[in-house]
Amino acid sequence: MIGTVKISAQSSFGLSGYWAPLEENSTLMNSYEANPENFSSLKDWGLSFSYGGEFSNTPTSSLYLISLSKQIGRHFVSVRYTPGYQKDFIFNNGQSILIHDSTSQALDSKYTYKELFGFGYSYKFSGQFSTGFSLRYFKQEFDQESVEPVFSDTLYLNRFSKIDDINFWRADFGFNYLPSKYFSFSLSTINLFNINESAVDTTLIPYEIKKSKGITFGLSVSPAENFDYNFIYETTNALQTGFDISFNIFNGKARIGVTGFHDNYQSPFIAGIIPAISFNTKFFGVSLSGVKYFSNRNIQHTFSEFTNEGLDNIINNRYSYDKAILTVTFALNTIAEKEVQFLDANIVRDIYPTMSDNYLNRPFATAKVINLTHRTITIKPSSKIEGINEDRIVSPVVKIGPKDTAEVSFYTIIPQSYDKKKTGISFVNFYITANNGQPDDQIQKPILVNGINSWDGKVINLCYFIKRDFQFSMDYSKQILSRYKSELDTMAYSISIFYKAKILFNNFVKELVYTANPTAAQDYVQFPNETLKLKGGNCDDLSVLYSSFLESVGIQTALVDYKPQNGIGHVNILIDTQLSPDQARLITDNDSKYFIRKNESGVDEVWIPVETTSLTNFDKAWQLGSEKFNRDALDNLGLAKGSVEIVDVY
Amino acid sequence: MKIVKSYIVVFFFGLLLFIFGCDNPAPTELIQDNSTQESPVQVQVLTKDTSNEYYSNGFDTTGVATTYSGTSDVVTISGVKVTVNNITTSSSLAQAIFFDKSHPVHSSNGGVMSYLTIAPGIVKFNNQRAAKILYHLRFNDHGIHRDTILGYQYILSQNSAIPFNFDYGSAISFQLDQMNGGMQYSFNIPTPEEITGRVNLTGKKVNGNLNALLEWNASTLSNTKVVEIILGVMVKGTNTSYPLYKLSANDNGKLSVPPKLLNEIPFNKYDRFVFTFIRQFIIHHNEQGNDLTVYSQSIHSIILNIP
Amino acid sequence: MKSTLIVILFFCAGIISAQSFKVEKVIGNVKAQIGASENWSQIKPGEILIANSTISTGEKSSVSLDGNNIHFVLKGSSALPLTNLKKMSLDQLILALAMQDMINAPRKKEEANSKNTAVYGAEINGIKEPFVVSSNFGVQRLNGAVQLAESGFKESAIIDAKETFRKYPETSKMPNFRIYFANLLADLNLNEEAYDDFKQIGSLKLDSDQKSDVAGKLDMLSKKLMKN
Repeated sequence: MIGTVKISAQSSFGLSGYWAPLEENSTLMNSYEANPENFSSLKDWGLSFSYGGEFSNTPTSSLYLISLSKQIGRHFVSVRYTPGYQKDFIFNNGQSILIHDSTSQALDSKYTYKELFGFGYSYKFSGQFSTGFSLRYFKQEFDQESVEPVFSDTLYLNRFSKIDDINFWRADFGFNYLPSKYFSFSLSTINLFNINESAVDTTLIPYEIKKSKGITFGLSVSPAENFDYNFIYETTNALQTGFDISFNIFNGKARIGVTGFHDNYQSPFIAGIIPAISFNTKFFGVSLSGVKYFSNRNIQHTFSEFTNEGLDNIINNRYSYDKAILTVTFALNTIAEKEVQFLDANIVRDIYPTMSDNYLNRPFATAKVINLTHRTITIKPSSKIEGINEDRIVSPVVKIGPKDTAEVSFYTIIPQSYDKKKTGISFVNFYITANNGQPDDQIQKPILVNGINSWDGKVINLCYFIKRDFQFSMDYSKQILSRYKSELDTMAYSISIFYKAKILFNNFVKELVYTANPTAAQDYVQFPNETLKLKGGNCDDLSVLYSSFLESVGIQTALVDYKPQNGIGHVNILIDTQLSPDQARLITDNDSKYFIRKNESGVDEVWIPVETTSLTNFDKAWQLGSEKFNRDALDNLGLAKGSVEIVDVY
Repeated sequence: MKIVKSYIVVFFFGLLLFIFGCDNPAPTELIQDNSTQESPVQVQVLTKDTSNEYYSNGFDTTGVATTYSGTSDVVTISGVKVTVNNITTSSSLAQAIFFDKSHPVHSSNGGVMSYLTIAPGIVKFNNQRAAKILYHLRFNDHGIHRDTILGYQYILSQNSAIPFNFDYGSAISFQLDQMNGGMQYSFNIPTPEEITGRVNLTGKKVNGNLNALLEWNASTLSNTKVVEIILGVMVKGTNTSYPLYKLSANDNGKLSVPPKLLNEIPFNKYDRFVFTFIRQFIIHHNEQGNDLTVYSQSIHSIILNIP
Repeated sequence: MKSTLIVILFFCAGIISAQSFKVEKVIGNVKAQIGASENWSQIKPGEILIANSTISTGEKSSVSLDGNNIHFVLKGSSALPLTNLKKMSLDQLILALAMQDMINAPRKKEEANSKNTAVYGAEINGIKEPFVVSSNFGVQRLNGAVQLAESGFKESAIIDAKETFRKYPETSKMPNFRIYFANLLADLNLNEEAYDDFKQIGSLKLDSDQKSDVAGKLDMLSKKLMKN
């Protein structure tokens, strides 16, 4: 009776034993057996070779495995070529040829089982959770010698090989969960999908690799520093268990471990052990492992035994010999070692897009960073605000001492073309780069990006509203002034500035119908064209409007910031008439309506205060402006006490 | 720079492993314990030249070899069954041939093909006297068909006056009384169990997938270890048969013919298979310096159309 | 319209709360300019003048004012903004001086360090009071400032004079006035400010007495400053 009970061999058996996936452990790169989910903590490229010998009656040595892996962001891919994952069986198949009545030639068969190559992929959702799959290609070659007659002039017999290939793909899926440094859990499938080529010769079915389905549970705990306990159980009633001890030596980590394995297919209960010793540095790892079976492996097996039991696992079965494996792993880091790391980042100022170069002079965010190296490094901070910056904006470099922390400031540039009126939350990515082109670390924070009309309430920042859309103001002002061309042309040049200011005021005032409550919409400033369109605004909007018109035709202005007393602040403007103090009487008989400031070349000039919210006429506005200025700024020493500030518009 | 260096190291390391690491892991040799129900089979070619239909090595469809090369004297007793179209006919045959070693028969290239035969006296099987009949040798000598009479042989068959009956699983006595006061000797020849074969022929020659599973009644006495099966073919439209191969298998009742042996046959010339199951004893006697080979055999030939 | 009203009320509130003076006695031609008005009007005894008014007296005229516990007589050929008719502390003076620096520095970022205005205790020689009869309004203002100082309002007199020197540049070329107010600074121990003023005065056209006076003051002030 063919086909008794089919029992399963270990699926998770690996030549280097079972190792905890708790931290960087290069031996894991090899194993789709215990690690079908392709978990890895590798940083970039990895290349690994396993070479070893088998202690059969005539010892052989072979290249067991070459694997190449690469981490790309959260993705990890690996491929492996396993020329040494092969098991051959040779037996006489019962046929023979009799030649010349006497000599007999026996015909042999050779059944070869190979795992040729594999492919693995995994995705890290976080530092704690990753999932992935592996695909492995198996080749089964059934080579049976047989006789073949040749009918030519004479009839004779030839030996020929009848080769049946029955190959298949195996796909498995799993995930890894590492809730802490000291604990890891994995779950994966065994023979989840097998994509078969079916056997043409049905007599070969008993000899195909068994593909029992199951699930593997892996568990590693690190109860003490430098000690890991590992356990893996397969629902096909196989298990591996072991521990490893590690210690730091020669700038690397040495590890000694032993894994025992059990399956239903081999005896004794613990069929064998895999002692292993490894040494890893950041750049390479070497491990020497052995597979020692507790039963005698150099015994004769019969073909009927093979027929009845079949084969479950290529590298670990009752026919496997003791082995010694040397694995060398190289980690080729084109990604440089992380030299600097963020501890935290804080947004210190919300973004007001109109106040563009404000962020060039003063940081909008700061971050604490730590130098991970033992030397002083220079780091280049940069940032990119989504929706505002197209490229990373580099902030000034900072030097940090060995193992030191430093506060880094981030500056930014807001393009003139930014024109979103809506305020919203965006994200800013902060980067720090040490010596290399690639950032060593990055961190993302939400940031409030205001609409272009938003204002932080600082009068100095109204300048940005004055300067934005300057072309509009220039066109508007010139168009008005051109109407008074003849008057202005016949006037002494010295007082034409004053008259231009007066004409502009008296003209735009005609188009405005209201002054908004100064307590309303304090954080919202209209651009000049908007104020005209809306036919009014509050003191900020009107000061911006008038200043913008004046500045656009080369008349210097300053904003007077009457800081909030009892909660209400106020803004109006000062105009540089460019008149000398002696010429002041050309425009007024009242010397309290002007005051003197030095210009850039140190020459005294006459400045006049104008109240822009007075939508009557220029003279009234001037009168109101100077009364308020004299009282609040001068007589009450507001300027000296800081309750009034003159902010020059540049 | 450091990175480039390490790449180079890795590359050479890999190369070295490739060059020196190309052994395969040691294979496991399994002992053939004939776990399968089928017999191991030994194949031998019988007819070396099938292009000349006049060539014969002496077998006919009954499976009885009628030509012996003459290295020793021969006694043959056969129980023969022939099945054609599911109709089986039985017959028995006893035969004795004695060679004169001083008169070899040469082929044109000088090789000894056989010897002339002599008729030394009276031959009896189960106390019945065998008839003396001419013994021909037909052979192909460099393309020339030759038929030579070598002398006499002794034959006793069902067609004899007193029919000869082959008793299976029993014994048949043999007796030679030489003329002219020559020596006289006798002995009993054991007979094998009767063999009855069955051929399960599947597939089609046009598809090249002919398959023959041969079954027979396995020996119960275990005094015969081996069964020989002669696989032959018959020329289209004639009764000329050509034995092609001799398959030797353990006498355990089952054998699968290696398919190539069937499918490679040039079917344009042949339209029937002949499977001849032979269970036999071969006994060597030395009687007063003369070698005597005794064949005691049960034969069952089955003739089937090639599907 | 409502919002305009709010703004105007807001300004009025400031005006109402300001100090005011009552005109006690008027001799000759005395005019006042109320607030930011462009016009001058004759004033009469009994009239209330708000603090942001400026009064001006003709030749041989005078006006006496009363209010805020101050009684003050402005003689002829003088002008005085009433905002300056007040007692200032030394601290207020120092603030006001610093403020002029602030106003003065357009197109430059404000610099935190203002001038050293520490007060040092030392006596100073009084000088003759300058008084010039002139149609020049700037000179009238200086005359007014001198009278402020004479009446004990040294601090506001200095502020008044400084403003006048700026608004009426020709007055800043009058050594007598300059020396007078520089000496006031020195009297208040604002040595650094006084030293700067004398330094500027040294570059003006001076007679020999003035020259030696200025040189003497500079010498004395620099010694004081050196001690520091």
